[in-house]
Amino acid sequence: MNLLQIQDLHVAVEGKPILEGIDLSLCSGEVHAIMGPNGSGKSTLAQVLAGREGYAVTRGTVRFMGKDLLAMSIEERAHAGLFLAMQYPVELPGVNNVEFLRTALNAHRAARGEPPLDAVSFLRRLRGLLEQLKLDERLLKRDVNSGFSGGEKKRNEILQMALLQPRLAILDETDSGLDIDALRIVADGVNAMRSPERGMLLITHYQRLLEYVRPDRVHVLAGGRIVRSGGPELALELEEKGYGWLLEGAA
Amino acid sequence: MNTEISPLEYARSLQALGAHERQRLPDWMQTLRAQGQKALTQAQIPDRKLESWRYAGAQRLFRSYFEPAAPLTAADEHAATAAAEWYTAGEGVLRIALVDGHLHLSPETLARLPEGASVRPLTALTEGASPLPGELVPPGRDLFAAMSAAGIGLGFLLELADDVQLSNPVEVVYLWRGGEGPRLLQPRCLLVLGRNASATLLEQHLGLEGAACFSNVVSEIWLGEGAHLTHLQYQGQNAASQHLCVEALRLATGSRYEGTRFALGGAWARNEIEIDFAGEGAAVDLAGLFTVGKGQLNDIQTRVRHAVPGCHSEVRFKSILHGAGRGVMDGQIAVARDAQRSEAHLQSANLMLARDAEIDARPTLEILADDVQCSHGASVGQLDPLQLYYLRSRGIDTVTATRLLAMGFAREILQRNPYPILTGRIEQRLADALVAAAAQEVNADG
Ligand SMILES: Nc1ncnc2c1ncn2[C@@H]1O[C@H](COP(=O)(O)OP(=O)(O)OP(=O)(O)O)[C@@H](O)[C@H]1O
Ligand SMILES: [Mg+2]
Repeated sequence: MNLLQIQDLHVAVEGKPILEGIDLSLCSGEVHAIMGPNGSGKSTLAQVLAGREGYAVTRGTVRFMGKDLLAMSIEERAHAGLFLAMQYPVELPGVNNVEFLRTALNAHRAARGEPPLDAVSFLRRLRGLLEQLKLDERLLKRDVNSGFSGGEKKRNEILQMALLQPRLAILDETDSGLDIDALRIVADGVNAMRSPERGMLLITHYQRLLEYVRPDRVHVLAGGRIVRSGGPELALELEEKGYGWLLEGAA
Repeated sequence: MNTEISPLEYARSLQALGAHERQRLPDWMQTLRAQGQKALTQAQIPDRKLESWRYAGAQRLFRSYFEPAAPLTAADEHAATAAAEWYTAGEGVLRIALVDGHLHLSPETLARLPEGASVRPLTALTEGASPLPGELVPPGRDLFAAMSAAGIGLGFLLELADDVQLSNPVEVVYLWRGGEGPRLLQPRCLLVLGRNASATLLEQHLGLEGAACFSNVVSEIWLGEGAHLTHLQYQGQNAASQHLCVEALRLATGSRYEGTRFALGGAWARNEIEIDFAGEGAAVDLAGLFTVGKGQLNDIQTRVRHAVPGCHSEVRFKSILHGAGRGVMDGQIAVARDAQRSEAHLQSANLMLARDAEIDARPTLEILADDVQCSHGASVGQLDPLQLYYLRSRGIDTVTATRLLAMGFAREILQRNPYPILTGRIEQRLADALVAAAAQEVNADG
């Protein structure tokens, strides 16, 4: 099934065009990687899909599981199964991590017409995930992302993903800033989520993640456009040659 | 009827109230009443021309008439039962109830008091005792102090002799359950801690839904050398009530005061907290949370006076403005010329959730000594759109996200209260108000 279909997407931020005609289509069960130079618009694409305000879609359409994604509110997109692990997870001082996670899960359950999960069953579920992600239980007692190390923030994003079980997970540089072991753990977490019902969009700068999580397709985003798409071997080629040769071709 | 009542009319009604009980009152109380009545004849309703009322005057209070509640009627058992469901600190506490103008001291409480500790009705205080009510908040202070003095009767004294340390908290419930018409309640509390004495005081000011009252509370707190008081206060009056609470503290050498205020209720509410350092090396850590809803005035006034060297004060208030009302945080620090090595900090942080709310937060310092460490600051902010976005991207609706973030903002103050039942009560009230207000905002937008 077609999960995500982006057609001719143009996006401007503060009047400045950032995305200039993106076409991308992703089916259930697929993992796509998006690579590209700094400032090319990768995070912009991810944020537009999640519904962040201030990003003006000036042209194009996005369909998510057959529905008009751009017409949905931020939380409706989440309820429909879209999840964005952010490049810079936001700190929420004073908001307890467990309370946050439980509120998020129960909001998803409510949207599906399910009753809220009681505290005990919730904690049991959470403990299982913590173990899988090798996350220190103490992070749960702390405020969401507040004072977390870079790697802890990224793993907290993966924890949310694993808890919410989205249909489409967009991981924006979740691998950046992770130590070698953490990268392995996060990759395992991502692989555990891989299923025929789910799709994933991995935004990354590094080939290393793609060694663990082998993508079906690799796209190169540059200057607000996808300038090249290919199989996993494209990532290797980029690692070797950089982006220069592609940009010359695109210009 | 929008008739303002003159202070004189108040004086007369208070006089009439006291008349039939006069013979039973101790001499000092009769004297204080007389002083109060005299002061009433000269007092004015404070308006915005007065420095400490510059942000919000008191005229609004006198648009309706509050019948003075009879303060000295014998305590009944109903008072004890009515208060019972409101206690929060658990078994083993010392309980004092001031319900509908009755004072009730539970016999268990009295039996549990260690030697050197005493809790008594103010009327049991005999002539010549020291200190007496009215020394820190004298009748001539202003109209409300005059009213309180003129109608003095209801209230209690908690006294700890030197070195007496109460291991259980003293819990006081001020409750108005309603009656015929709005009432004026004027409870007073006198707290006297001897040298190296220590106690925890947990106070709640409550009114049942729809029961209108004007409570004019006066607390006078004396801390002896090296004494230590932890003091929590929750004001959860209903939307029909007016609430004024004046607290004056006098700290002797090396004493410590840790205070926390949660001021959430009332149509018109004002806390005045005056702190005077009388001996060196004393310390005050005062923090509070107050909220402002639609049509509500919530006014916090703090005065910290460093008259002697080497004392330390920290005052930190946060507010959440969730409706079209008005908040005031008027904090002042004064450091006298001789008060060298003083450390004084004053912070006010305010979260505006409603566009049409108003906040006046202007901390002021007056420093005459040169060897001091002082700072003050005020901030007014809104919810961070990025934080809201993050929560919404996890499927959490705007109203719930707003509640989580506002609670997060209040957390450091909420955490100062260790009693879960009280935490639950405060958080529930806060959450209800935030959800109702946020839902209104969302509707207004849609
Ligand atoms: N709010 C904003 N205001 C102005 N410019 C913006 C804003 N957000 C993004 N941009 C610009 O849009 C361009 C694309 O940014 P984006 O974050 O999407 O890049 P990226 O591909 O994710 O880069 P990186 O690899 O460094 O994360 C950049 O030039 C950036 O400065
Ligand atoms: Mg980026």
